[in-house]
Amino acid sequence: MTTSDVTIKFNNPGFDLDVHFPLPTRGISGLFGPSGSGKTTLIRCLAGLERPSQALIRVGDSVWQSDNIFLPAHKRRVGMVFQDVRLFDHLKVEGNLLFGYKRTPVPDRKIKIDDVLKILELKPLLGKRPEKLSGGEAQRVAIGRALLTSPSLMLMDEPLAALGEQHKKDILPYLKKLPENFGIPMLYVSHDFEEIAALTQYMICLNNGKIQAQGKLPEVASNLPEIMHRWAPDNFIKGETCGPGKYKLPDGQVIHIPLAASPARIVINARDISLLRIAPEHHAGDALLKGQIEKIAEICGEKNMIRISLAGQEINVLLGTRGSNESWICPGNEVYMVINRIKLEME
Amino acid sequence: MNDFSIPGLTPLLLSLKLAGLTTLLLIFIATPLAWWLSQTKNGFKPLFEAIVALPLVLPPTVIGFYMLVLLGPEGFIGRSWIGMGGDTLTFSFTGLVIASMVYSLPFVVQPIQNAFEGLGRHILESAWTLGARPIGAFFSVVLPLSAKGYLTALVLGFAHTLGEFGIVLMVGGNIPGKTRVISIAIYDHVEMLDYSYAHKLSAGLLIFSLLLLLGVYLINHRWRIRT
Repeated sequence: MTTSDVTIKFNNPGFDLDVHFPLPTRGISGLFGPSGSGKTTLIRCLAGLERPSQALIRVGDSVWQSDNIFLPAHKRRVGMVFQDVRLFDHLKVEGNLLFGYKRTPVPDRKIKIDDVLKILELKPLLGKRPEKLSGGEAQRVAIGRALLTSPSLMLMDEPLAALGEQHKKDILPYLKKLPENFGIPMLYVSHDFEEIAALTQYMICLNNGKIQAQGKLPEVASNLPEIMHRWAPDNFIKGETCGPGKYKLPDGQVIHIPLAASPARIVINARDISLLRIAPEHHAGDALLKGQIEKIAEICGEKNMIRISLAGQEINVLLGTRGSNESWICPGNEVYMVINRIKLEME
Repeated sequence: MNDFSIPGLTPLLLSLKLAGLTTLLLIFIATPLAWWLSQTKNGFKPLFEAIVALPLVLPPTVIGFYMLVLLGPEGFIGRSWIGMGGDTLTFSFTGLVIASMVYSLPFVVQPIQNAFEGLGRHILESAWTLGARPIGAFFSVVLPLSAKGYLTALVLGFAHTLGEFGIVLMVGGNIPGKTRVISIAIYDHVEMLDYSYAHKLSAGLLIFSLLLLLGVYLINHRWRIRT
């Protein structure tokens, strides 16, 4: 598999961006950082909208920038989705969608119009003018428009930041579907950790113009105490439905779920789990799981991020300040997890 | 003079021809100029803007005087023109067109520049990332989105040239069928105390201008409703 590599040095008065990182060639990568950390500058450099003083940008087989190469934006085959949408008001939705498609050389048109229309549910919007669209609809059109250039990299600069809560929730499922349907690597910029966590397991953290951490979400998160303090990751538990209301894990333990449900995965937030040393006598058992402590991470000076192995899967448990100093909470020990709340992920 | 059948037909047609030609040529000159002014980060931008705006504040006689000097056989433009095989520019229709272009320049440049600046870089960037070359993005995105600015520029440039008097008198004089435009014709008749003729011409111009502007505002209004 070919890799993508990014090195950028960009000097602005009062702000320096200096990054070097491998860019995942599949799936969604979250680019996370507080406001002013350089996220937008970074992806503008990737898109060819800014010209860094020194850079090596290689995406797959093509070099977008090096010491003697600078491909302008229109030659980069990059799909860019902006926070402020930027649809063309003089064209209807259809014209907007086809704008980039028409300018993509025929052999490069890998993404089909019908697929984009179907997956983003754009068909009912085709004849509308951009100003008649809701914020969420407009952003879906912008995403479709970028996809139809069959880009080798999608860049999304806080595409949900300008939307209301409801619209955000509406559009997230569409975003989630993109990598598997179109196979285009995506770099998704956000200052909202939960948004990134909902979309991807892989993230790159930028702070003050430098990469602070990069990798799978739980590891990155445990390196970033200031974030973890506010945020607890979701755990995804895979098993299978076995009979009504029962979800069986590979090791035979059963989680009780609503009767008619047949979820693909069970989602348990790290905050919704508490730990017990021994199983309580009068516990119904339906929300109790047994696992083994693997690792304890310190967050803000407290040992409260516990990683537990459960039926071959990793579960992160975020303990409150109380109870985290108990002596029985140490790697290797078996513990009981009381699940206070589960979410189901259907397929 | 053949304008006895319909009063002032020849001067009116001449005025329309002058205004139409001036505006058309100005659009071609104003587009790159307005684009440059809207995009440049040059520190001298205010100076250039001030120069473009000069005809707004100068008395037409001042512009007329300098144009007369420049367009005359000894002037820079007049001499070059004759050098290229042209006729004398002063007191000719061609000279009038050139002088009118200077006079109406800000009325055409400014609305277009405002439209360009209103679009901002954002919309261009999104066109580029969608694979449009810079020049293609200009024609496929910037121009259509600046249509209102162009309409304003067309009408203001046209109407302003139509109503010009001082410069025409100084540069073009009063040659029937050649440089005697409607505003001059009106002035002539007033001077000869032929008020009824002056009335007809003035009323005609007034109604024509009103209809023109009404048309523009109607179109503008409709656009606003649509958007």
